[in-house]
Amino acid sequence: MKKKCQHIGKLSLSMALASRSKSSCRLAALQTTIKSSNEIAEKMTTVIEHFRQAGVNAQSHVSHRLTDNEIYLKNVFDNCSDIVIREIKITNNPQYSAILAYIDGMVSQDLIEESVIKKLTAKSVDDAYRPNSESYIQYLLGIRPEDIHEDLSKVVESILNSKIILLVDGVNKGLTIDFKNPPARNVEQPEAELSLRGPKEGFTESIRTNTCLLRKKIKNINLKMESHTLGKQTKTTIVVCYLSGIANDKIVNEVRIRLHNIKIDSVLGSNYIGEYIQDSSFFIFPTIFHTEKPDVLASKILEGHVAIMVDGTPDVLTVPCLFVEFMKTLDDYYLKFIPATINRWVRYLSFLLSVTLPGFYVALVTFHQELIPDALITTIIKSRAEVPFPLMWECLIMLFTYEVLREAGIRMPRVIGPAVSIAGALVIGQAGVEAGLGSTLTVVVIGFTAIASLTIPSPEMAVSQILPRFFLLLLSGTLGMLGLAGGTMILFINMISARSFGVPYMSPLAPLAVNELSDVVIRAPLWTMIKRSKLITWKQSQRRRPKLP
Amino acid sequence: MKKIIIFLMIIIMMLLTVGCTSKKEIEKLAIIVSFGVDRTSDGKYMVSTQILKGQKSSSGGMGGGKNEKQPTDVMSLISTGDTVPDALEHLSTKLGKKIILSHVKFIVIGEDTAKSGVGDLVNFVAREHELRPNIIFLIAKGKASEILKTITPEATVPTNTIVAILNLQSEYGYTPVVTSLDFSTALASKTASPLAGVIALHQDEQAGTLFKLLGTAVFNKDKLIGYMDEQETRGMQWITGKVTTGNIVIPSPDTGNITLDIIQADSTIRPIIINNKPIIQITITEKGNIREMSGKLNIMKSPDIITALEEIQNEAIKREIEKALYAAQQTFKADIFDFGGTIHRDYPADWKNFQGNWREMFPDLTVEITVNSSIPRIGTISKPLY
Repeated sequence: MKKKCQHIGKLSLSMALASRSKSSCRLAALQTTIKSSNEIAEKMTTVIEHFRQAGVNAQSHVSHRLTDNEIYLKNVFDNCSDIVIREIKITNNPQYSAILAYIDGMVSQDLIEESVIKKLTAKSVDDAYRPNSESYIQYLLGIRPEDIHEDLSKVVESILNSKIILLVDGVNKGLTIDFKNPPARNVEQPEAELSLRGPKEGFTESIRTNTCLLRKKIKNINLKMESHTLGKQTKTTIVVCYLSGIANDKIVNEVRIRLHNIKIDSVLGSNYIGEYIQDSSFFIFPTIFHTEKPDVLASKILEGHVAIMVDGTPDVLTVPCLFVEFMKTLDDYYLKFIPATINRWVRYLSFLLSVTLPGFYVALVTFHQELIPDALITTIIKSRAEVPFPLMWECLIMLFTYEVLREAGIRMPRVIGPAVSIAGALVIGQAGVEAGLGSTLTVVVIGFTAIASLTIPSPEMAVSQILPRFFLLLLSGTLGMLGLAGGTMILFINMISARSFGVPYMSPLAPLAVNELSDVVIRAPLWTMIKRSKLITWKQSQRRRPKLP
Repeated sequence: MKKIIIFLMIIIMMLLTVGCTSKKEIEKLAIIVSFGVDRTSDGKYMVSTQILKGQKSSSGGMGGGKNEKQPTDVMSLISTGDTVPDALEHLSTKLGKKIILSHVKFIVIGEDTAKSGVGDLVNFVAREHELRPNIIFLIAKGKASEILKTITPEATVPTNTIVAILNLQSEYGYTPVVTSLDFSTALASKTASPLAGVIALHQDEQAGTLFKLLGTAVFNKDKLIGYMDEQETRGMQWITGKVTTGNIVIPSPDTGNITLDIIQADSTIRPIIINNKPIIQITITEKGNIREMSGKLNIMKSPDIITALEEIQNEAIKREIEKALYAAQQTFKADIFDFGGTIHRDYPADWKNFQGNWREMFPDLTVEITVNSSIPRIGTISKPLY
């Protein structure tokens, strides 16, 4: 009881020592007051938001009075410290005031001083236009009519798109000036697509640079660039490029429809768009081609493909896309045709081997020992003698280890690079085999598979091989050669029945189109490739005149 | 949706037809590369096998004499049983691995076993699905287990040495390479006689124990009746057209011998029937370069010299063939060349008359031998050196 009294005593020096219940009643009352005042505060903030929104919505048009516009902008960009609102006087006349609004860092400062402020604050040469009229400024600075907005939401949008807004007292329109200079990367060689010979330019994150790089390659009025905006929060610009007259109208229309149907919050990379417009998400191989090089994109557009550029990423999509395109590189056309053909065959063979070799090896050694050639049988027995795992599990473990190494290698900072590669090679390769955890022959087979998978030029295709490889390995490890054959059949059925924007995925191999095979099986000399591939354009079109004998 | 059903159907069908039961880890298998068959005193079969070893070969004893243990990749095991497959099964009591016969390269049959009849063994070899039809039959002079126990200094797997010799001899012709298919076909035919190669051990002073393939073993049905030596074997291989490389030694018209190097050889066997009697015509075409010449004979003097040498070459080949024919017709009275089969193929109607008493007709059969040989090249020098 004494303790409890002391407890109450600490409540307040002025309060009587008695009645614990009274103080607890008062505590409860205090708590309810706090709670209700919290609720009231929340309601107040929502009401204030409401008023602010109403205030924002109420003023949807640019008003004549400059102060209204200024207050509106300040309200909208509340708590944005990177917006700059500057007031200038046109022709240095205190009657004509104007404000410039832009986001700091997005525009070129020197140009603002030189081309805008100097011009505007200079004395007018003659009095053809009244200095604070819209026409004066429009023709002084050369502003396009579509860059003059009456709508305040469009004004805000322009500011967010790194343009400068000029609001003049007495003019109920906002004028946009484009001196964009956002921080951007230089044009350099993309890391994922290295080219031996040939141009080494790569796209950057700014969409205007990308469209320029493309225009430099194709100087043709038929190269159309349609602009769309996607993404509720990010409002990213998307540009669809194609050569009208060569690209099939149906495909272009289909692209427009599919882009129109996208309802997405944010577009941060081109695959965000790719996932929405591709034919099937569950197909293992990619049906949309990605590239970071302008020359590759130009060659695709000239074949009749449609390109989709996304602002903020150097990765450009191309549709429609066939399987054989992943086996070609533009480097083939920069070399002579016989070495280029041999390179192509090496790639086809490595693709096949990389997917089927582990399965074939396991099926041969565990089910069909009678097929092993005599020269190899002693080697295989000796290498498998002390390994504790069955062969299929050994291959699975080694493949998994390779995948771990590959993922680790992507993220490895260059400083610890050598250490990790030594650890990988020594630990897994040497020490693992010495300890008897794996056999040397399996290391050779899996290592060769890994290297073969790297010959594919496109990274999307290289990583899509992993699933078929594991699938075939599991099937051949449990069912032998029949499992391998069945698994390959399943893979083929899957590949043949896929389509990319209406074009069968495996053409010209299946359905067979013999005329098109000249660029698939071999790389035919350029002067023989007279007709454009009908698969993409769906009509006859000629690339070049036949070479005269 | 349809695709997913098809994929599932494929996988289920594979599971139901094959299943995963035939999975054998290779380190749990005993891979037999050759085996030999003998009979014990109480009539049981004794099978000696060479099995590939899984351990790495011991690294000792590399430079020693013939008494030290050679590094090897095989181990020899012997087991007994009532029949040959029974004996192979009894191996499992000594070896903890499953026996696999798919890699057997040849079978060695002991001399006594061959004399008492190899019918059961041939039946087993033909019936067993794991044994390939191209495995080779060899008769051992003595006991088969002696041959299979030997480790030679040349290779870690002695089986491969013997297979290498056989591959070479299939061109030289000093021993016939008889596969299980050939033997079974000859055994099943009513008139032909099966053959087999002969293998023996040979003691070399320098190198130790080596394998030597000598001549042919001739069978009457399934019992061994005798041997043919190397010269007779080559004569036989001339007739069947198996000789494609080798040497012929002919006496030079001058002094000494001339050695000729066979480049190409071909033989055609044509039966004709005259007065209801069959006559076999054998035509041999051959090309041989001069390899070595002793004496002062200068070939460049006139082309008649080459023609004369060709005549001598014809004679030499004819003599070898006649030796083989004598052995077959007179010594063994066995149709080892399958002349009966050639007559049957060309004159099926007349063959019905001969078929019954072919055994009596064969020793008196007239065989006409024509040899057309030529000497295309004489080497890199023309005149003799001194």
